[in-house]
Amino acid sequence: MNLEDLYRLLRSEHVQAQGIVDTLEEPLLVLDQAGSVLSANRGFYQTFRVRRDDTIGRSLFALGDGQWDIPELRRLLGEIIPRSAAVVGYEVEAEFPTIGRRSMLVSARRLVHPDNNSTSILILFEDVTERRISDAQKDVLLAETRHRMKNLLGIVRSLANQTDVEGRSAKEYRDAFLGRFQAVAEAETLALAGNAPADLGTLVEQALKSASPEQYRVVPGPAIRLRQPQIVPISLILHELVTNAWKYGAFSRPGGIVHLTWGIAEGDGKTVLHIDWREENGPPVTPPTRSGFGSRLIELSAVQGLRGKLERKYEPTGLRVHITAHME
Amino acid sequence: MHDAPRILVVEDEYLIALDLDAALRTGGYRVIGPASNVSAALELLKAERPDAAILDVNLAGQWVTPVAEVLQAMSVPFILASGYVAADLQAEAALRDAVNIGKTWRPELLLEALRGLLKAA
Repeated sequence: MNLEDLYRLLRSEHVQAQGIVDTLEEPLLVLDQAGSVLSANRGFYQTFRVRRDDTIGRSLFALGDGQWDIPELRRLLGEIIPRSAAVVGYEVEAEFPTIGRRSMLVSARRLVHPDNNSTSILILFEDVTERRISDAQKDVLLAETRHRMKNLLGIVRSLANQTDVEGRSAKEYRDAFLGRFQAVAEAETLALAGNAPADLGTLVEQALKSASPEQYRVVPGPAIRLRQPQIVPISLILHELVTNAWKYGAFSRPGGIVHLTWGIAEGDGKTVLHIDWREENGPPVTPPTRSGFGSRLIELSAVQGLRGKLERKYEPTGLRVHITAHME
Repeated sequence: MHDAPRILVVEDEYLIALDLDAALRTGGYRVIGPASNVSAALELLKAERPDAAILDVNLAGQWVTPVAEVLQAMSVPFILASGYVAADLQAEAALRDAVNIGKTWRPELLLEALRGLLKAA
C-alpha cells in the first residue's frame, strides 16, 4: 500500500465516520478541554435550528440563550476530564430560541484521541419533550381511572343499600339488585371502551335485550354521543323501565308493545335530548300507591344524573314516560 | 328530630350522594343538599349555616376547595369523603388537614367521624 492509498483510505473512513455521525438524529457535540465546541453533527443543527457559525468555537454554556449554563451541569462536566466521570441523562428543561420549551437529557463522556492522547468531551442530547408530555397524560389518565374505580364501588354500594328489602324474599332482593348492578356494569363497559363514544342506540339495544323483537318498536333518532356522566343514569332509567314493563306493563301481557323514540331539539343556544317511552296493549295502569326505590331511581337519574326532567303519565293505553336531558 | 344537627353534603355522583343522605338520616341527622357542584354548595351556605359538612373533593373535575374555605371562614367543621389519598391533597391548604373517610366509607365510621367533629366544635 502506498502513501496515496493510505490517505485515500483514511479520508474515506473519515467520511464514513462523519456519515454515521450525521445519520444519527440525536444531536451531538464534541467539546475541547476548555469546553468550546469543536464539532457538531447535523442532528444538532436541525434539532436546535442553529447555524454552524453560531456553534463552532463557542463555549457550550454560551450557546443559544445560555440554556446549558446551569451550575450543576457545569460542575458535572468539569469532572469529566479530571476524574474520567460521565454524565448520564442529566435533564434540562428550558426555553430554547426558535424551538421553544423543551426537556433535554444531556449525557457526556470523555473521548481520548488515539494519536496524541488529547482529550475532548462528547455530548449527546436527547429530546424527551414528547415523552414527558405523554408521561404526564398517562398520570392524569391513571388518576382519573382511580377516581372512576372508587366512584363505581360507591355507586354499587349505594344500589345495594337502596334496593328495597321490605316484604321481599332474599331472591327477589338479589334479582332486583343484580339487575341494577348489571345495568351499571354494562354502562361502564361502554364508557370504558373509549375508542368509540357510547351511543344512545347501543344503550337502548342493550336495555331491550330481554324482550323479543315483536314486543318493541324503536324509532331511532339521530346518533347521540353520550358523555361519560350520562351513560350510567340513562342505562339505569332504561333498565328500570324495562323491568317495570315486565312486572306490571306492556311486556307482562301477550300483544303488549313498547314504543321508544328519541330526538334532539335546539333552542336558546341549548341542545336538549328527548326520549319518549310509550307502552301499549298492556294491562291497565294506575299510579303506584307507594313509590319504591325503582321509581325514585328513575327520577333521581333523570333530574340529578342527567340534569334533566322526567314526566310520567298513566294513560289508559299504558304508561308513558318522557325524559329530557341537556346535551353539551 | 327538630334540633338534629344539620349536615351539608357536597357530592357530584348522585347515587353516592343518595347513599350519604340515607346514612345520615338513619344516623339522626338532617341533610342540607346534597349539592353536586361548588356554586350550588356556596348558594346553600348563603342560606343557612350547617353544623358540619361532608365534602367530596373532585366534583366532575372541579375542586371543592372554595367550599372548604368558606366553611373554614364560617367555623363549620367538615370531613372529606373522597377517593383521593393524602398526597393528592398536600397542595390544598384548606383540605389537607381534614379527616378523609374515603369513598367507600363504613357507615359506623362516618357517624363516628361526624360525632367527633360536632363534639370538637
